[in-house]
Amino acid sequence: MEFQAVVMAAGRGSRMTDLTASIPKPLLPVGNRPMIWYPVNMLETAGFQEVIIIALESTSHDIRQALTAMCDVKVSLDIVGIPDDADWGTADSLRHIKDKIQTDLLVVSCDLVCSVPLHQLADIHRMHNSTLTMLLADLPQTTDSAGILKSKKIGNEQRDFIGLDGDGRRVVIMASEADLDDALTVRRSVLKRHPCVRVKTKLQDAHLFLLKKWVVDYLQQNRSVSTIKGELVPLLVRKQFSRRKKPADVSKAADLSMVSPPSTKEDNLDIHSFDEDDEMTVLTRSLSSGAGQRVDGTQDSTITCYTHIVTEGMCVRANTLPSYVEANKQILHELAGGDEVLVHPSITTKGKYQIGPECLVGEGVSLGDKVTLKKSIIGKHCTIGDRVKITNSVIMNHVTIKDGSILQGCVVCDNAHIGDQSELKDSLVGSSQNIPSKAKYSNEVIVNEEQMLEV
Amino acid sequence: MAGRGRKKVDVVQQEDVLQAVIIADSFDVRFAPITKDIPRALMPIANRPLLEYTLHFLVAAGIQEIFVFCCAHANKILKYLSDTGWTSDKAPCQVITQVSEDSLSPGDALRLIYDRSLIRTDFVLVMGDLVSTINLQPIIQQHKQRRLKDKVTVMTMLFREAAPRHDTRSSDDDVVLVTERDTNRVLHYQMVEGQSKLDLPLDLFSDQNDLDIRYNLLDCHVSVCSPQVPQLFADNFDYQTRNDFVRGILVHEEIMGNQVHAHVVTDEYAARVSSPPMYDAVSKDILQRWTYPLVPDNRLSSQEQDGFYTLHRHHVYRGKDVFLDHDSILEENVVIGPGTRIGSHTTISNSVIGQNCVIGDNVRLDGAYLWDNVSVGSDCSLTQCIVCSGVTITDRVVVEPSCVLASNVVVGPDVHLPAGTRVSLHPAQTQGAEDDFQETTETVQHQTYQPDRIGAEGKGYIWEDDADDSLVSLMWGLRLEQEESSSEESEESDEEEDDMDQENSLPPDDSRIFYTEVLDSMQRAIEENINADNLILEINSSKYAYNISMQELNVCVVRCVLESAHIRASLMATASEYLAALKPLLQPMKGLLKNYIRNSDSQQDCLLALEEYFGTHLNISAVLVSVLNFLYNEDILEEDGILKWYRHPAPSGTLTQKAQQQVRAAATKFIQWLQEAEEESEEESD
Repeated sequence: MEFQAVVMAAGRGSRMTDLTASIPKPLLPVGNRPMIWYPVNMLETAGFQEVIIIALESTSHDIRQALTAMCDVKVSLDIVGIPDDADWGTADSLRHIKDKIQTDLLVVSCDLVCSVPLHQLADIHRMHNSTLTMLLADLPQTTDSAGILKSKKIGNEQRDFIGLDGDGRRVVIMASEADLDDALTVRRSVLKRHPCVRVKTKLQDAHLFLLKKWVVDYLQQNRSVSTIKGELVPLLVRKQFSRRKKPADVSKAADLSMVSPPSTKEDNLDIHSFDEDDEMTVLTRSLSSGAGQRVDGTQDSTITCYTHIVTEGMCVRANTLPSYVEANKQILHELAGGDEVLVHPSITTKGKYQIGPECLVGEGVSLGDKVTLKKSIIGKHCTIGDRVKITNSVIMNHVTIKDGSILQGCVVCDNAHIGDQSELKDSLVGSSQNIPSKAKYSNEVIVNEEQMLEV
Repeated sequence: MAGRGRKKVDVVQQEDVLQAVIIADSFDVRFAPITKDIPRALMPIANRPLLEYTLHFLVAAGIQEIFVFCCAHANKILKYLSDTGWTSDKAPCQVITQVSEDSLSPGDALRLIYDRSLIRTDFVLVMGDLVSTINLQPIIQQHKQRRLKDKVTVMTMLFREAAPRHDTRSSDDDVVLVTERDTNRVLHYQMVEGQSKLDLPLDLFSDQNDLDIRYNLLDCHVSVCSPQVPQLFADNFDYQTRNDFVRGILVHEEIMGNQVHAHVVTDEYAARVSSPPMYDAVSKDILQRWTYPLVPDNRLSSQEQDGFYTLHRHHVYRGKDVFLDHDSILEENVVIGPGTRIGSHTTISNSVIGQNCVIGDNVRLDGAYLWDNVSVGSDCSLTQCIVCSGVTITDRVVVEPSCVLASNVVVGPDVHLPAGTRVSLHPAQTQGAEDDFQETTETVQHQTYQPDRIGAEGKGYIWEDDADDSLVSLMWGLRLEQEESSSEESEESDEEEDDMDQENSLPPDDSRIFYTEVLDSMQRAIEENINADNLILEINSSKYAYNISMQELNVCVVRCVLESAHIRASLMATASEYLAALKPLLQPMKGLLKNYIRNSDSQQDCLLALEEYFGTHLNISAVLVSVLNFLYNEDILEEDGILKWYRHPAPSGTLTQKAQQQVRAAATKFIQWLQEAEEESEEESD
């Protein structure tokens, strides 16, 4: 076994609380399947036999249920619950399952909807023997897709600055705009080794990482790192260029550190000491003719970070409302190209109806007369009245839409009830909401007031 | 000047004429004292004046009208140009000289060009010390097209791709450029000389384009400029150099809207002879034919009749009538000018020797640049130096690297010039030395030569390096490596500091200051034999000042005791040395420790401090037994406490488990003894 797969599903969906108020984030439907099915399925397709899922204790049962019963997932699932009240970052979670980690690992977030074959990433990891290999994707074009909630500020505040070297595979600079004041600081030593760095701002981190095993050991020692994306990755990228401490240096450092009080010494652990080469590598290096010649040397640091950038196929992280909508849209597009049955045979209809090519209609849906569906997803057991028009929308399960309503670019959560003749545009209807008849909404979020307060 | 009016043929044609401006003055003193006698543009490199290379480069690019801007030594440049026929009608292009004696910077030069309204169209701006083979035509075309599309394009700068630390990368042109990927537009331009970090403003990234941060560029100081450039210089009188200009354009981009572009060449040659190290590097490149067709054996113009060289193996170029005595060896990369005589058993490598030089027997030349009419006596050794025209080096002279001998100097016999010596017939000026200045008006100080330093027959003054003068550090030689390594060090160290900042959640300042304070007072107490009570008083007062918890204080005190012994013994002390230093300390510190280590909690603090200290200094961990023994005997530590500590290692943030184990292993002997003693005492009590 080369990699162990870990799916991070303990997030609370804090960036789309309107949706996650009633449904835990991993179970939000994307293309009528729980979101977490996509990464798990991706791993299954790649040939993984076992997947570790880290989930909140309260949701772990539901997740297992959803994956095995509803989605027919065959890989063996090891669901590790973490306490609901513990506010753990992803690195904290890794630390929690440290004992299970025997090999290098693959960490993926539950909100990644991605059609990239994993072997491409693994090949890069193997080829460069990299410490960290991450998947990056072009930012989704949020401009046209998310008509929904245009008013909400999208995107820019979480831009990542990613500097890539030469052939665009090695990551040499990584910073998040949120962490920067007003300038991106680049070390000259970095530029000396990589004198031409290409900085991209249009990439998003797909939150899929291949990590060497020793990184987990390091996390065990260095408890100050709590998230992978926010802290561990930038740390590793930075440490590519710091010098490995030689034994002499260590003692010197120890001398210096005498001046500092004990509390600060905690983090002075040399990250490089974890990356011990096996004997064979050391031998190979010492016998190869290049030994000692690399002056500007990568030999100082054995930490390397590489990336694979998705150029084709879909790759969306459904972690915000717009990207959730985008993920649904893209999945429709993806499915429409395949040969899967998009309209469940169990639907009941009354009279004429019109279902466009990019539509997904779930089990037990009943459609009224002259219903028109375009580019939309209808969840299970929905009841849709006569003359209803739905375009570009996501309707979850058990939703009732009365006669003559028009929905455009909407997200309607479970058990909502929409009265007749209402017109909704680019809006979000929370679960179990009741929309009165003839109501008109545009660009609004309709949820419980208590939930609003939480927001 | 006069030329222009005469040549006005018709206006339409004038518009199409390609113009260039050569700034034939460096406005600096890198080559002092050579440039007291001769302007930099006329310094020979591979036996050809620098200006010649620059002119040929422009002619090859199809430039039809060249303005040569002269400032210092203007008459010499004028004379040279007319002697070589550049200003005559037969020249391949029109060369017009512009003289201004009071310009102090390239900016002044461009302002003057604006005043005289010489520029009518896009023009090429170069420095007079450029050696380049870049084909400018396509670049000029690109610039023109860009300007047709967008009027705000004011300049295209030329860069050559060269890795950091490339030989021909001058350290003062250490530039980082941020360009837009698709358009090559320059967004940020920053000199990084001596800086370890580079801050890129975030607004650079607001556009959707990918950016390239490039540190692999050699600034050729060739720019294709739009006609409004001289005007911009005139409008902004604070622009002194092109760098000021570029920075100004970028800073005011939002207001003025002007844009600068970069063009990067990869396989053509360009370099400026901007300092002696560059002189060395460019000479080597010329000899090794990187600058083809600008090589010694290629006649550039019909005027160069005597400059006829034949090329031999290993890049050896020999002029006409060279006389080599028996057993003299030209190893590699050597140019010997016509009419030069070389004595027997002389070895020459990586050197350029001018016309009509005389070199004696048993001479060793390596990396030496001898200009015309130099005579070198026998048994000399010259390494990496510039020897100007007419210099006489008599017998048995050793010249170490980085020396400069200006025109007509005489040195020797039997002297040894240490590295970095500069000798000139002009006495060194103490201040206000400007490069390329003509005969200075000040009265010549009648100093005497120093025969002990330049030899009995020596003629010339030694120019001392002024320690404050930063320019001097740019002289060639050893300093390169030193500087590199030192900057590396500092980089490394602040990287570590950085890491500390970033990784430590607690700002350690207060407790660190407190720690050093305690350490200081303790050392003073030891030296001046201050009473323990007073020391306690002192420590307690700083405890309140820095708001330190009792536990931290305990740990701190123990550490300080251990460390002051370490300081006394020297930090690299072995276990026995350390013990010797520690022993006399423990007794006076007994009171202090007793004051702080009073209950079982503080005992644990104390033990933890011991553990940490010896864990980080494993080489002296053997001393731990003695320390424990002492503290036990003094009843500062109790049996239970020690055993508890020994058996239950507390998770330590600083020490690895391995180190913790090693510390415990060091203490084992004492623990065993303790346990035995315990058993015994139990038995006894039974």
